[in-house]
Amino acid sequence: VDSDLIPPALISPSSRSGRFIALYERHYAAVLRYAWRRTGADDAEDVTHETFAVAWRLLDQIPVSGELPWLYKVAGNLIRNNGRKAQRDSLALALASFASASAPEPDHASAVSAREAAQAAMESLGERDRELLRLVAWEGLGPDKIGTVLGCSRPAVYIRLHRLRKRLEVLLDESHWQKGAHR
Amino acid sequence: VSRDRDAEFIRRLYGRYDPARGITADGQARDAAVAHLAELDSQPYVAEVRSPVARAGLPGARMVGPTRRRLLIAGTAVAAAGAAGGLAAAWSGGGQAARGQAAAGPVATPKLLSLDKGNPTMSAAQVLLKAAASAERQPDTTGTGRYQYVETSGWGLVAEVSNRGTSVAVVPTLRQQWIAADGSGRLIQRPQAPQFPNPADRKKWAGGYLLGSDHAFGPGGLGPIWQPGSLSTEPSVLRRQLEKGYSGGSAPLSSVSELYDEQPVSPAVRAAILRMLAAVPGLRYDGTGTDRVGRSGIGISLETSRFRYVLIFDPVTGQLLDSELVVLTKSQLDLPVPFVTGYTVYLASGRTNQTTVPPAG
Repeated sequence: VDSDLIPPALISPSSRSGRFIALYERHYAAVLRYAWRRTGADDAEDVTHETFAVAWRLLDQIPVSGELPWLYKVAGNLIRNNGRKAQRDSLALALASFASASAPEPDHASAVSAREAAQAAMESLGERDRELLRLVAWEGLGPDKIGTVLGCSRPAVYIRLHRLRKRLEVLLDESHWQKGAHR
Repeated sequence: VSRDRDAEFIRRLYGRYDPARGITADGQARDAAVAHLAELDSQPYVAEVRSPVARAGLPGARMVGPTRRRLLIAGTAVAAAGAAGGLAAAWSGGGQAARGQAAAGPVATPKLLSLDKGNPTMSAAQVLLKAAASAERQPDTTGTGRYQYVETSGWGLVAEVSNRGTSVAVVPTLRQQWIAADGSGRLIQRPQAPQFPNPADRKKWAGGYLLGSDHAFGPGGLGPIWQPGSLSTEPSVLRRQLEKGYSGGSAPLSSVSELYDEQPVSPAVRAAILRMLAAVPGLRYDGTGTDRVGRSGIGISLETSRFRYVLIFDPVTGQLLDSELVVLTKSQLDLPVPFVTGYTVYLASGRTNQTTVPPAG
């Protein structure tokens, strides 16, 4: 227990700076991971830094009930605005880190083939679906928050999720996958 | 719901391949936030933080900085002072830290109060009971009126982050508080001239902090914790009243400080407090000496695993003069222990009907 830390609640919530610090504390790690998944380690910190710089300027516009999706949206825009190169790199990086991310498993051969299958399937998706996949599987967002990040309605998110599932089922050998996933 | 099965399916397939799995901020988010703020905002920035120790009868800490984590113990501190003060400076950490990490700064704490051992044959109980007998013979000068007025002086450790860098200072703060029974009233906090542990901090100081505050509060705004006139003069009953909501071994001493923070205390209650303390096991008599503003008194203390709580009473009036908190165990601060993390000096108190000037006397 680190009793030397001031509980977040004790920072004066009334001040703009106090809110900013609280926002940072709540979401810094999540935004860093979001950026990491899309740009890789080298640029993740910069994107996170820029995201919070935007947050500082627009602090009053951040919805209290949806801070994280708002920050994701900003981070996503910053990554896209960095240009095509970044986008291309983003895919390459995401896929490269993807391969090394999974933990060692007892049945190595089957784990590797499962991972390769998953990677190949993700690679063959369009960027919109890939982003949806990341938001669901890695950011762990629910339909409402995904809607905020992607700028679409909740029903639209459900429809897209269903299509994505169908696509993945086609792309992957379901039985093979199940075997690998449940070892 | 069936529609959520799609999301669950995708999560089950891909969740384990998260490239950012295991990426954490390692508790550095706050440091990063403060450093970032300094960069974003060219204005001097100081966050106001109410320290948990405020609950223990010391004035709230106000501090911030990239060094926050390290400063915290000193930050919980804060307290009173006076000419007798003086700073013991120490550097914690130091040097250039990696990007995203805060460089540690200087930490200043007030010197330990020195008391002579007094009469070594006296126990804390004996000294306190003697003071209690004297206290209850005193005339009640707390006065009348709807507001309870208390004036204290404390020292606050403040780290200021501005475009000039981070600067640390100890800022003595005068606090004047008027509270009515319904919790309405007025609170003035007036920071005095900052004292710097070294010339570098003086140079970097942008002066953003020293504005002070003066606020009027409506009903409920300021408490109070104890209704005026509600406290018993029976020591065991009084102890229960004071310690309500408290836990931990320091409760008897902390709650006494907090009571004096809030209201003028009548001679009868002062005597009961001293008798109550006389029955606290483990209490030590530290001897006689002068408090931070040069008033003579008797010192008693109680140690918990991490802190020593010191109270100095006037042996004649039984009034609490000074409350100190001493850190006993090594922390991230790298300060030689024990060190004073905060103190409060109780300067004046009384009842009055208006909040424009302190009560006479």
